[in-house]
Amino acid sequence: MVSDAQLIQASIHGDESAFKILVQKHESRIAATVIGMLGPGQDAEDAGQETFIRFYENMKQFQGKSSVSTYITRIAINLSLNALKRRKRHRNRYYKPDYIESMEIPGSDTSEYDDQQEIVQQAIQQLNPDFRSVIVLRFLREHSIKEISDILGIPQGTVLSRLARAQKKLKVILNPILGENDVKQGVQTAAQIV
Amino acid sequence: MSNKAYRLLLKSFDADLSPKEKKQLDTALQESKSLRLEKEQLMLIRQKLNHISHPGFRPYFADRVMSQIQSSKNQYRYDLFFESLKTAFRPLAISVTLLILGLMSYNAIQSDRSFLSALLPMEEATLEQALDPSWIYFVE
Repeated sequence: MVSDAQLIQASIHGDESAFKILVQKHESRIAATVIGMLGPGQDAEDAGQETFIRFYENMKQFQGKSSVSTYITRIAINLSLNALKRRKRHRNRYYKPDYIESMEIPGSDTSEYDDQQEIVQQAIQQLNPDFRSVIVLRFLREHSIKEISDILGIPQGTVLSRLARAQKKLKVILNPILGENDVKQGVQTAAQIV
Repeated sequence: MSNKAYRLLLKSFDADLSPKEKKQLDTALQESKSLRLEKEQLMLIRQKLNHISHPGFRPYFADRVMSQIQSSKNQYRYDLFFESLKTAFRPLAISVTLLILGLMSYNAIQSDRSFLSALLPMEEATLEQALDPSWIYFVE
């Protein structure tokens, strides 16, 4: 199995097929990151493509201090945060505040959301970008606290506090939707995971 | 349920607690039913988060990335070509202007004709000639 470092070296020397292998290798992780941050759609696809293009352009500067995965994830997170800022500016410019509120809150009516995954994804989309990024990296990408701290460039204590606050917010959003019965059913499975 | 116990509970999911903190949390969990319920709810939410699966990008994502890279390379070459044309244009334009001015000055100095006709090597017409249509054909 060819390592990331070998693929990067080959890409730097003009072997485009090596870079394509690198893209295929990291594609699913970057997809989880940008889709988690931006939701499914064209924005996520664009951010994903831009992530790899930026990496290609800056490959010579990559010194291998962090892993390729961490490095690319950092680019993906930054691009996603920029996309969220653009989206917010766009919404503030073109929609009235009361319409924005109605777009952001899915409410507790579960009839529209058969799939619980969809509900949880909607809930993540309601978090502010700082909280969303730690939730995505911790749960969707399964990074350790130290890795998240490296990717976001913040102290581990801040990661922990953002995680705690994000979970509190998610609990407020999700509890009325998931319901008490679900809590009781989920506890046994959850105990094995956490 | 105290705030400290709740903070310890949240911390316990993602970081190692010291033996003292662990003991404090265990005691708080034994004593507080609301803290136990809180723990159950948080565990459920974490379970839901762990089970989110994304379908990923549309098929042939890597091909699309490579094609974007290729087109940005082509764009770079295109930009480079026009940038070099732009860079070359200014010195070339200045040189040609100076050459033309030089030739015109040379003509003016060397010629014994009037200044304008010497600058632009052409016949200077009188008013009668200018009004005579046959003279136009002659000039052409």
